[in-house]
Amino acid sequence: MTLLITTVFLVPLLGTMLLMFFPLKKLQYVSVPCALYSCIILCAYIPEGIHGFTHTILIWMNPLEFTILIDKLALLITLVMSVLFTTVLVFASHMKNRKFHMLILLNFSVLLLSIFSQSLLGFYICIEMAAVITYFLIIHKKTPQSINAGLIYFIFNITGAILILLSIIIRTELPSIAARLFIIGCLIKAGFAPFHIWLARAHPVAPSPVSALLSGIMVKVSIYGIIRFAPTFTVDISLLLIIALLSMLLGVFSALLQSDIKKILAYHTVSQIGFILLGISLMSDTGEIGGLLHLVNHALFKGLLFLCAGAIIYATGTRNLHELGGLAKHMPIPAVACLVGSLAISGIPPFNGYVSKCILYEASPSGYISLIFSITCAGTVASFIKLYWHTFMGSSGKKPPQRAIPFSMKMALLVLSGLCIITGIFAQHILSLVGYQIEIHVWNTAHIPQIALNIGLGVLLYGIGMKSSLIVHPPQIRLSIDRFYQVSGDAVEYAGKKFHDILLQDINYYALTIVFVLAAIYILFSL
Amino acid sequence: MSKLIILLVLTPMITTFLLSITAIPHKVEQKELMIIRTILSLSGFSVLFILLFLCASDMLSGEVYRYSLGGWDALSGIVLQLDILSFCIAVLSVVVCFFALVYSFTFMEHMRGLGKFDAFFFLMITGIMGVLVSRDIFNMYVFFEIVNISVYVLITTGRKKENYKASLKYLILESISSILFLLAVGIIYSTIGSLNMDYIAEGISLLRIEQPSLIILLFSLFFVSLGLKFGVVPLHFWLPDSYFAAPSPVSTVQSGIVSKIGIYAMIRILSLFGTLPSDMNYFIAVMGAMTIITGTLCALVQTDIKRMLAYSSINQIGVIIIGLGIGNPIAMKGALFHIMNHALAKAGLFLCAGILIHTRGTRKISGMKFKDSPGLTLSFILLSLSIIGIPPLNGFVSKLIICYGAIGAHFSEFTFIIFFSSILSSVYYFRVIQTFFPKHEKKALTPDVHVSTSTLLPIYILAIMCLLLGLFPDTALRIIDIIVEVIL
Repeated sequence: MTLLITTVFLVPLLGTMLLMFFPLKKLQYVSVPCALYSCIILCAYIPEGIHGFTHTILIWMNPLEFTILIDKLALLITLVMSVLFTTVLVFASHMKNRKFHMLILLNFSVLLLSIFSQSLLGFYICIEMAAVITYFLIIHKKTPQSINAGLIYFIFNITGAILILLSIIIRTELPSIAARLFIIGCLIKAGFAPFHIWLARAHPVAPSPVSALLSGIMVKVSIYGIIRFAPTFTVDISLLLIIALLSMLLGVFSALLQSDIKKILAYHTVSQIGFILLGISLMSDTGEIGGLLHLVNHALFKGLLFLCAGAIIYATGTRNLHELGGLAKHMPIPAVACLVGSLAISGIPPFNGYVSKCILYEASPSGYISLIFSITCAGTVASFIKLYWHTFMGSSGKKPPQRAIPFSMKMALLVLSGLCIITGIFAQHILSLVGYQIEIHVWNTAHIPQIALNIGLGVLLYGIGMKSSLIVHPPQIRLSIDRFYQVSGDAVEYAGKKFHDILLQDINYYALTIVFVLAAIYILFSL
Repeated sequence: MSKLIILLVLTPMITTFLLSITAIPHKVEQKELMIIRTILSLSGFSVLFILLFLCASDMLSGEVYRYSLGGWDALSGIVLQLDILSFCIAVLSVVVCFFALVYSFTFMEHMRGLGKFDAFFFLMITGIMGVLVSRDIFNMYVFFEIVNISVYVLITTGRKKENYKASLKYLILESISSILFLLAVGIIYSTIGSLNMDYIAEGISLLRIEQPSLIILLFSLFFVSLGLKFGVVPLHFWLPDSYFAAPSPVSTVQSGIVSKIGIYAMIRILSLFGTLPSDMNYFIAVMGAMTIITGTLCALVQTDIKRMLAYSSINQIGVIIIGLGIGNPIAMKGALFHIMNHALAKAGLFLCAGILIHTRGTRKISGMKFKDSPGLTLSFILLSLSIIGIPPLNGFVSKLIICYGAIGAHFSEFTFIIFFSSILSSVYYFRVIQTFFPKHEKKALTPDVHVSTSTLLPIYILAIMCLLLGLFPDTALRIIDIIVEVIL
């Protein structure tokens, strides 16, 4: 029975090989069944997985044996992952590019393995491989912007990954530094506030299915890393509270100023993962389960929203909010799906965002934390009123839809919308099925004033924005953090140039240097 | 069986002579001469492969072949020795040289026309084999000279002004290195009275108490002369110029093998000194760290692809030197594995660079236009990921092992340097990789350039070897374990 679990990631790998070596016409008939297979097998493992079991397989690398560990946490995240990958592949089935399907399946397999890995080294190896694969997915359109953003994505992610690797190596020697490096590495890879540059650049230029996966899965894997492996280091997670709050605020206010649909969604990812980290850093059981539930929910509704954006871009060919409008009558299904997603992310019942946000709100202590919580929620509401109104409502924009969206896209959107509602209403059942026992008291009237307040504030914020035309003509604010990275990059380049110039001299200088080095070594050891 | 050793040196030497005969003016057609040369060089390589294959089983069981020329005793005669370390590096050298020559068949027709290229290529292999098998420090010097002179001639085969300039620089600096080496050999002969490494090791352990300053002098002479050969910062000046100017197959062999021969000699010489004092170990590791930092920073600002690869070689050699400097068995294992990985990956990258320069018509990284060739793109990506050190490729495994060695020796600062240089390496390699992707207009392509499969095949094989070594490093690491047991 344990052998069956290996097929969960071997079948997508097999699919990749099949796509690589055989010139098939109907790509989606390979990729979708492979992802669906993993999804079904994982569902079959639910009764066994909640008690947790391990399975050792020996793969490569002399010092490393790969142990698969399956417990409720891994099971929950891999389930969400396989669902999202399946729907995204269904959504992308109109794409006729072999490389694209191949890379997504390969990425799926690698990411599953990273979640199953018991050791941190195995986790590192898998996420590093996933980062390389994702780079090629991001630059898939091959425009100059996407290639640029891909490089930024790759540099940030490899830096994060290498910090994690360093923390593995030096953990016996310098445990306190190792713990910090690990946490910073995970934060960089997840795109938290000071490091969110790559996230904001990579999401808009990637193909929409890839942005859905980036935001829904890739970012979450690093947060999973914190949940799973941070306890093995001696580190105080509660310090992450500040980063969580910063991400929440920064993300939501940056989103309000954008006019690119996918950029808005990207900044909301920054703010929503702030909620997840808030739950984790509170160090309480409710907080952690709230964070985890929000992780799952965010994967679903953000995936849905990005796919909606993908459908809009497919139909109209633009990402600019102000060129769109009145799409609801042309594209009813994306309109409904987008409404579901927007309501979910704004935390309005009965959608899934409401449940997790309520749990998080209850877990967070009152005072400045709950204040920031409310402000962020209000900002989210305002930003999604803007997003929804300017695309689907109002008068028709400059760019009416040019082509109808295929059936597969509609299906993917409907499945994800359905899941957003189901996980909202049956949150408790789903959690207890996977092994998390928690009493959820959100279905009562006690939360109505809070929600009404959030919506009211959100509408107010939107109104102010419209009146002062901040929303239509956002001011160009270059965040200083962006400049910091620019300057540090320039500094390294300058150092390199200077170094290079100093070392490039005439040949008699070289002879002199040789003599000098010889003398220096001799004197050094004679002393 | 031990007579095989002398054949390892004689085979390339005889091939050189035969090839040089074809270079004398004849009345034979140019085309037939080319075929004769091709057959000669291929048969030379096949004999070498057969010889190495015959030695393989004995070598892998840890045996050592010894052969004294003319039957003289080891104290005054010339002794050749083949053990598992020299065997492994010999296999690596023959493989990489073979790929470089196969690649040059189609690519360098105009340079091979004179017969100079093939002849000196085999002379260089003679020198490399000689360094690997000689147990005698003076012979090592002689064979190093052979390598230097033949590489000098090979660099000039590009026949441009920059080639001559770079080769002159190479020649002068390498002769300084040789003089220093010879000086050290002279000092050893006058104080110890033998040139055989076994006797020298004994002599040095006695001298250590009597004349410690002499030991320091020997160490510094050897370090500077060998450091010049493999390019430790600040003795690396000739390296970027000569790698840059040399024709691609030559820079492949220079970066892949000739610099590794220097490191091989370093391993041998360091083992003469017995266990080094910890400050010398630390010194070597610090030199390695300096090499890494300089190589990385300079590679970052290069606009020329071959210069970038040259500085990246300096960077990787720094990693190897750190491994040697730390000197405990784990780090040594990592360093030896990294020698192998870097030789394979960098050889592949230089071959790729040759094709890129040829098809794009420019050496600049930006402004390259490229005809789409998925196989080449994929190989370039794999090889550069291996150099950067990204799993599951072989470069990652060896860097990881070196870092574990550094932690074992409580030198944790070096792990930071190695991996921070990995981040910057990823920047400069991906700057090249991203030029593969933008879509260009049809007219920007250069349609007349045709890349044949026989040129691409060596690159594919090298890339696949890197991937396999990364996925299943067990076999290679088991062999390296035996080496570490023998040399430490």
